Amino acid sequence: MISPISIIILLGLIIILFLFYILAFRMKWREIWASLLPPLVQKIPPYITPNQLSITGFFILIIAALFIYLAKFNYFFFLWAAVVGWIYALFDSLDGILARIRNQTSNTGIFLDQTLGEVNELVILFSLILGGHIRAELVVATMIGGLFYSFISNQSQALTGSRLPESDRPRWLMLGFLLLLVAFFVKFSGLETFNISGMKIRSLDAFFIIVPIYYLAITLYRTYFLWGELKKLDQGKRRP
Amino acid sequence: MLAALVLFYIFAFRVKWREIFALFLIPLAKKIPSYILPNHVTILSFLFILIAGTFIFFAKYEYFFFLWAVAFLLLFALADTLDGFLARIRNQLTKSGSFLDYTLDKLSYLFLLFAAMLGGHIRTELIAITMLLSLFYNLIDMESLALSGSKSSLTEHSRWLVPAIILCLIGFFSKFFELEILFTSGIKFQILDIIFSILPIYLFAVALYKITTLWKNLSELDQQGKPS
Repeated sequence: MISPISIIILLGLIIILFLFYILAFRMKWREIWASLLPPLVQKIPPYITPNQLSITGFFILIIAALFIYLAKFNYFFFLWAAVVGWIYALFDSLDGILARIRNQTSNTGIFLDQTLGEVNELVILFSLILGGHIRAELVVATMIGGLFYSFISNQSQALTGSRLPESDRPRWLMLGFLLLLVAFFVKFSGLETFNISGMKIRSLDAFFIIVPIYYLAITLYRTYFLWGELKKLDQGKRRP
Repeated sequence: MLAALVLFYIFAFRVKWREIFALFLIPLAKKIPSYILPNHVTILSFLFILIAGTFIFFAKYEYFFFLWAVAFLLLFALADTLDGFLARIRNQLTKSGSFLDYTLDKLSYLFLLFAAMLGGHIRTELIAITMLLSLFYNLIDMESLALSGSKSSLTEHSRWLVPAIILCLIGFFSKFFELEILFTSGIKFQILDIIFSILPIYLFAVALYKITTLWKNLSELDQQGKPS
């Protein structure tokens, strides 16, 4: 017998997944930011360099990670983490736009931005483990998947000499933001665990599992794509 | 213990294995029929790793499997060096080849670490930290390759092999002499855990070192690029 409550929960879940898909993969966040931010950028005094903004972003993210950890004790901290996450997103986009407007794009800047981006991802995921919100195995699998994905895309850059692939960090930020909101509502409505034929499953785990699967899929796709491109390059070299 | 550490250091980081292998591998490479491509050898070497990993897992039940794992790791070393020589002798150095070689190399050690974790030889936390640090190190390495255009890092290939062989041997001997667990003032330590923990510390140190040198190089590049 299916109770009406479970139907409502199921419908809610489908709507959340659909919204998640649209927010994370269909909206062009970079372009939306780009239209809003330049007026703000022009007000930044000239003694502040883009690298300083990147490093400030890193410290803001550590605060967000702290809030995620503290949500262990009081779930309203999830909302605070989401707010701080927005501020981080602002700084993260500002540094690149600032460098481009001032014509200050540099190798060190790109390196700092990429490496801090990677470290930031690890810090946030680590805070999820410490806070006990999501199973450690899932989070570690996501960390490894994320690092391997970045490794492949850096390799693509080194071997084909192409420009940096457009960062999909805004996408990850939206995804993280949505996860925080879901985490808040899950705790708020007391739906932390549900039973499927006797097995206890935590809703956050079930939701989070999309992330490693997505990583695996894009890594495979990227590898396949890169392989084709490298084959073409090799053949071009043989028969000029 | 100290002597073992010094030997470990010399074997893993000071001996030039590549050049020693070159002496007897080049005549062998010349005998390989022409329809076998270097990429085939690379994939074969990955199969050896899969077998070695399976043996490491089964060493949980019968410790003699550690020796089998060592044998397959040695076969891997042979095949892994052979593909590079083959490509160079035949002038078949390709970008797809170096991509395959490099990526399978990373997958290889991830697989071995995973096998050691499943086999329960080493604490899961240590393995997870090592996997993350080594991937982070490789990421920095690749970034250096992409941003500064230097080629130096590709020679650091398969550095993990010698530590892996040594760890397998230690795993075997510690079970053979029943020295798996050390008691130090009432706390139980597994010997393999203690020796293995050198790896994450080493990786952390080299990653930091690499970041500082890369930062210096990139700053220099930036200053050269600016119009004076």
